[in-house]
Amino acid sequence: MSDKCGFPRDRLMEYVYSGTEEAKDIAEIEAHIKGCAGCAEKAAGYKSAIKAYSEIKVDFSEDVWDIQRQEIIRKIRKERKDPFAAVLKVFSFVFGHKKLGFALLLVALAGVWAGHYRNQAALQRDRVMIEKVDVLENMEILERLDFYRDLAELGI
Amino acid sequence: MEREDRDIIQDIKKGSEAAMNELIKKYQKRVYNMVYGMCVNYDTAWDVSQEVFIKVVRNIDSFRGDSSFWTFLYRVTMNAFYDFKRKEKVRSRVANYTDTKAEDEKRVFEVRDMLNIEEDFEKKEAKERIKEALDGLTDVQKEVFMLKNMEGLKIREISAVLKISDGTVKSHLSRATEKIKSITGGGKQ
Ligand SMILES: [Zn+2]
Repeated sequence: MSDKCGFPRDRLMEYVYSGTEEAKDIAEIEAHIKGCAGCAEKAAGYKSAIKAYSEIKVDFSEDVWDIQRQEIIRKIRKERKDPFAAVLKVFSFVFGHKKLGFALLLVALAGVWAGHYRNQAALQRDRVMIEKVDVLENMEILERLDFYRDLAELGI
Repeated sequence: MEREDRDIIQDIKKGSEAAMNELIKKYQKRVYNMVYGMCVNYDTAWDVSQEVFIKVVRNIDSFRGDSSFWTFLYRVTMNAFYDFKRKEKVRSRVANYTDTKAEDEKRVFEVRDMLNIEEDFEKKEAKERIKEALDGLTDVQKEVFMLKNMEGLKIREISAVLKISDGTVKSHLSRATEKIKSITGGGKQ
């Protein structure tokens, strides 16, 4: 094995991926593999794992892809007709149910319009929550990706 | 002949539905497979890839063409994927998962059933092992491995997309390949 013979794994990887990369000194790696059964077995194992992975690629018949496109266009159409739906979706997610989300959204709006029904602390709480959800939903896509990366790094 | 991305995007910005259809048709298989290559789940890949194109159209004005459309699409795809996973995590903490899913997001079918996908036992087993191996990787390791072996990108292309050095890409790729090999039993099948 490479860990026993001391041949570095990175070099074996270079060999394994040499079909798609401009690898240097491949002959040197090949010469080692020829004479080292452990490394040969390991390299074959990497190649086989990569092959198994690339074979999971999915292709459906064209009518299935058509169905998906139609569904996407239908959803986009719906959203364009009803921009309010996008806001509702955020609330639905936060509150877990569309109808409940809708009701709570109305309550929140009513609360804002008729501010005297709520005390200042409750209003502040709602405002902060709406703001946070809003920030998350409307954050520039690239920032959001970084945001999720940060969370992943923190193990959240 | 296929039109250039920027021409299609110009038309989408003007509100053309035909252009949306054209763009989705051009990229839907790749987007589906990128997501599938991250999670090995037909339904997740279906739902996330739909969401990707909805987001692309919704945010098309933020694409100004200073990077390639594919790079933009890739970031939207991963964003949507992590978003989906995060929502799933939150939902799984709520007792009645199905009751809490917004009606709009409910899928009345399972992609597998709709497609009548029949897989032999060995193929199914291999997929399960790949899924298990992927679950043991970090997000960035998974992305690197997928970009290399599903999308066929070169190391320097991956480093440009992920904004990390070539050396870091190589080290992620190496660890991911080792892990996939050890769990899928590469070479000993
Ligand atoms: Zn060796």
